[in-house]
Amino acid sequence: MLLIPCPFCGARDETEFAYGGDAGVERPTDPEAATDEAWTDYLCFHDNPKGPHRELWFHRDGCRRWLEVERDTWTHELGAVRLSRP
Amino acid sequence: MRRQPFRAAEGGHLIDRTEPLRFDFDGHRHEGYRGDSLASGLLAAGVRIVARSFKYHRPRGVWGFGPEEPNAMVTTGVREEARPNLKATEVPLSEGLEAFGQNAWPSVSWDLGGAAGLAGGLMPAGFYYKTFMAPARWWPALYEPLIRRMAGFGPAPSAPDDAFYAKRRIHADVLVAGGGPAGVAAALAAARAGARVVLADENVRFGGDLLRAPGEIDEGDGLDWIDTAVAELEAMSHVRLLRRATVAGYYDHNLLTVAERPGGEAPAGAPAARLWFVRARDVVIAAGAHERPLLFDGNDRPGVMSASAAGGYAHAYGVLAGRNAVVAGNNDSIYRVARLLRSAGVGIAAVADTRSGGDIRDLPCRAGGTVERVLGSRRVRGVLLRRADGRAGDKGERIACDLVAVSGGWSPAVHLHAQARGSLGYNEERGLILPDRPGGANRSAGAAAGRFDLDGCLAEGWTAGVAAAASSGHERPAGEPPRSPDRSAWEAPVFWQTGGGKRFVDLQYDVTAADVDLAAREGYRSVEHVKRYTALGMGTDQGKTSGMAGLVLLSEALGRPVARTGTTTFRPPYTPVPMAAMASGLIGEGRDALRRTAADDWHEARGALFTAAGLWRRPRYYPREGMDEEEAISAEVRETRAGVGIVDVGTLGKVDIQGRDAAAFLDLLYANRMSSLKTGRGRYGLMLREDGRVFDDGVVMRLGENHFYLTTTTAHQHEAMQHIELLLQTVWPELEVYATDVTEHWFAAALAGPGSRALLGRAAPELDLSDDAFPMMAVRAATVAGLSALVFRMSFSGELSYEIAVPADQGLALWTRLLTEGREDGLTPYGTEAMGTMRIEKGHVTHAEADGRTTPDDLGLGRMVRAEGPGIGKRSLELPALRRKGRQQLVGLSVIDGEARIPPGCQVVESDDMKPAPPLGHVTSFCYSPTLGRALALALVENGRARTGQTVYIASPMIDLSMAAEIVSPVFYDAQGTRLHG
Amino acid sequence: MADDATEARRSALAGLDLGSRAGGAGGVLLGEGPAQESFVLRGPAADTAFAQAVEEVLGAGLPLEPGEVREVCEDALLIRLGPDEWRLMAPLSDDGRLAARVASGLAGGPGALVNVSSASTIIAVTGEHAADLLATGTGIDLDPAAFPPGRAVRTHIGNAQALVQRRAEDAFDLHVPRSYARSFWEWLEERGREFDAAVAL
Repeated sequence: MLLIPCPFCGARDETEFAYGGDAGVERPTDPEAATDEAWTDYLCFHDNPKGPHRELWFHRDGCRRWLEVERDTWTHELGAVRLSRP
Repeated sequence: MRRQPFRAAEGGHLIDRTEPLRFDFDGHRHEGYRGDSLASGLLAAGVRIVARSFKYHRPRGVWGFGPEEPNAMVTTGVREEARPNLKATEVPLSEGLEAFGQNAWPSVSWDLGGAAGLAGGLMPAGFYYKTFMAPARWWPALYEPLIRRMAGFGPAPSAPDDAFYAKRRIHADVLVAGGGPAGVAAALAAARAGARVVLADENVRFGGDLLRAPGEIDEGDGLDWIDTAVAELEAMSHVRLLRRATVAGYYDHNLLTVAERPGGEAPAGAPAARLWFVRARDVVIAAGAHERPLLFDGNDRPGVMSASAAGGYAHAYGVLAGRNAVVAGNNDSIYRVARLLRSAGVGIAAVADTRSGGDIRDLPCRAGGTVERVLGSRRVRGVLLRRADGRAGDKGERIACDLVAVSGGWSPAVHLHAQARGSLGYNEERGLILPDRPGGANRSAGAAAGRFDLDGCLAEGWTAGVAAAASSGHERPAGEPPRSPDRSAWEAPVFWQTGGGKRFVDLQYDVTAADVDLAAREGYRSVEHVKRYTALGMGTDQGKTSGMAGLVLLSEALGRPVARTGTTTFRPPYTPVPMAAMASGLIGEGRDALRRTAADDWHEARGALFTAAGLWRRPRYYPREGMDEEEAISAEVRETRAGVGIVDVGTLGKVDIQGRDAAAFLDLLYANRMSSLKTGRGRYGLMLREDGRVFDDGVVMRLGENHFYLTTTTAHQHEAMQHIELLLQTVWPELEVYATDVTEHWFAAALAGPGSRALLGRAAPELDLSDDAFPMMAVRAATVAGLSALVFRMSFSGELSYEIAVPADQGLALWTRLLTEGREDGLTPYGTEAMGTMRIEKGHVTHAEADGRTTPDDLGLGRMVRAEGPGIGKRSLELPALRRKGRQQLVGLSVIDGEARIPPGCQVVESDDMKPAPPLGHVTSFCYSPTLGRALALALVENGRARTGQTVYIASPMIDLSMAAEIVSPVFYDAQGTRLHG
Repeated sequence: MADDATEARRSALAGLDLGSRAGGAGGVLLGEGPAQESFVLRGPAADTAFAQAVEEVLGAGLPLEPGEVREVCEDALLIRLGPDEWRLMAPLSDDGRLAARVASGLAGGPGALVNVSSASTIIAVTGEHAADLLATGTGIDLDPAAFPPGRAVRTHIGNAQALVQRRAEDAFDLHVPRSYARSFWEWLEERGREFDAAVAL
């Protein structure tokens, strides 16, 4: 079980969190202006790297903040963790 | 005959001779002492055959001393008390213990299945795969029962285990796995440095190898030193010592499991087992090493035993594993064992050292000799010794004995290191697989790292303890590491085997050297495949003794270096952990929370039948005397539609939204506009996922300029909050909006039916309920039944309806007072079935329709979507895939036969010929409508709306059912909505 | 009809009839704490207007350490639960004065106050093995060095989310969601067998 160092609460078990997917996906600022292709890229085509990955985790049972966590998908080693909205 | 014929007159530091214990093995009464293991008790009693082997049913005795034991598998207790697959070496003796050897009928010493042993050559590697191939239909009836009877382990208990199993989560700066000299030195160093230490050992007493043989530490007895150190540790409040506790699993981020089996000496009321979860900053792996066997013909005979175990039984328990021993091996540890046995009173017939050279004068040595074959069929009667180098003309030497103590060297217990994804290296020169780079914050020390001398173990343990404490910021402790004059390293550089015949590699699963050879000849190359094909190392001992032998044999057979063959994957647990301990707290009462609304006690007292809605329970319906289920549900519907009903809607998710940008945010959150709501008014809203599918629906009420109250479905309470927070924190962080889940604060009940206005009017006399003053989709604060409440006028049933919310602690009061007040109105409580029936009659969607694949348009709610604006999911609605023709759309299905009822899981098809064909769609919700007198369904049907008026078939091929239905509007009842006004 | 909330209030544990279970001395005691008035206070910690408004109405500044519990006016406690979230708790009173005061203080500026008085049930776990009992179901570090008395954390215990307020080394108040309370109590009792848990009223 991962131990995620929440910047607010301190290190907590993975089971206190909900996974939220790739943190690197940028929502087009003007969706109406986005082409179908750009929009589906945003919706569906995300990287699935073996190695470092920046991802969102929701601290459901703690401070209820969304965190951006750097996690190595192969070793589960964690890098920087920050609040998505400081 | 003496009751303990093989107990030495003195000695045995683990036993208490003042307290004899009686126990039964296979129906025979024996005696041992408090402190004995079942294995030592059996050996003391002279019981040599303890179990039968897995495949060939060969007689087997005790081989080892602890968890590495491959042979002595026993069941304790009978029937509901039965605990199968225990190792006799790990079962503490207790008064009245009943134990049985496994894999034998009627008993281990007279086993009918032993005939399989005579036919041993007929069951080579892969026997089951090769033999029970075809016909496949014989598997369930014939093959499987046959194999299970012959090859199964002990009997499963016949009743649920009602013993208490415990679990505990703790944190440590340093977890030390193993309480031998290295582990205790590590724990002492770390604890003195001030670190929070957990020290766990599988034995009842700390000491590790010192339990099995004496050693000297700091100019005194080694065990005395251990005891003193343990006493010091025990006195420290930041140290926790766990005895009879095996570190079993090493998981991500230094979470380790420790399986504790209090057993034996445990106080009354102690749990049968306890599983500890330790989150450790750093881990010292001081798990020791396992003695390897020698491979020779008959090396599985009762009486052939690990040399250190034979010595250990003498030293720890004062038990003689035989009267006359041959000690054989390839390393210096055999001399220690020989002297230990001799001083305990065992005659030493010969000491055969595969290495030439050094002759020890006080022992009958056979330098350069080894065991070729065991004599005796059911137990050891002697051995045939030969020269190890296979010199020609060597006729061998027969020596009578009843104990063969063997040592093929030592395999470091690298399991935890490997579980942590540390890399392993093969040291060719030393013949050892050793920990290389650690995976995570851990370090191996002592025998687990390949240090076999006591002095080295102490020094390495101490150093590891200091380093581990340092990683949590603790400075080097005062004091020096303990020392020992013992610097003899038991190097055993070459793996050694001899001769032909039945040489067992894996004793537990009856895998022989020939099986490994055969697997290689049959083309198996990967060690993982050979493991699965031959079952080598798959037993409950997980190949602790056999792994290395198998690896070397395979490498030899394939003609490649051991390092290239590699090891199989080490997976947790290191030793078997009772399923009951893992399941502790996760089964039965309290596993999942059962969420109850404030009116739950009333529902229960009223005899409601409940249904699960997520974790909630809700009344399905209230059974009635003399009515079946459908009649009772229909009565609830009829009485509500004709009069007034009440339903508990306390389970709906409720969210309080405040802040300067609240209205703007709700326009983004919902597909339809919310900012145009006037204070005191509400609107039905659709939340989309970003991919355009309907995520959730509910009602949004505006309580103030910057204050809203919204409901979510029961199922999506948590997901909706998570979704809202995601948007507020990652997509639009600039918005000032505060969302608070207030589901738990509010209880709500809905009054529905034409009589609801009159009833509410009496309960809330100050409230003007006229259509003008309190229109549809309005919200008012009011006193209802004496309680401060929020009243919403909305309807799920299609009838005039009011939802009344009060703080949950007053929920039951609201409910009971309304029921009392409503007695004269014939107020009917109804459950989820009646609620579902009424919403199907009205064509309202739930999760069955908004199933994560449907868009607003699919559900006939396309009009609700506001075209402009950047709200979540709206851009996706323009994608071709979501606009294309032929999508499944929500329709109503009116069953033509009024008597027919729809079963769950039906498809919608074009024809009733019951031939396989792609369905047009599927039934999402169905009911019997007492209002319309027939079965109704909502369904998602390809191009459904264009098919209105067509006859289709509701089909369930599984039960050979098909019924005709007409596609109609999903709003079956009161399409004009006149009933909303009462 | 007059508002008679006091008479109408009912504990989520009422159905368990704790009175009939009370008695015995165990390694851990379970009891229900008195109902409280409780509010979620939201607002930007760094915003001086917000901080000042809170200090003015509550008589003490915002606690800023995670999990810090601060005594404010009228026996009320303010606990920091998140970067922009506090819990305000006070003895039960039906006059609504505290809420009105805070709400008026916040009016016009950022921040929000939400009444959640009915949302939790308070279960007191005390005694020698109180921390051990919690440790059967939570991953947080209960060592007093890591979680000192006087602090609070929100986490998951057993089968429910809980706000854990540590009153002393061996005394915890668990604020659990009301709908979970009964199940959670049953979970505590079941796990408490290991420590001879007894019910204290």
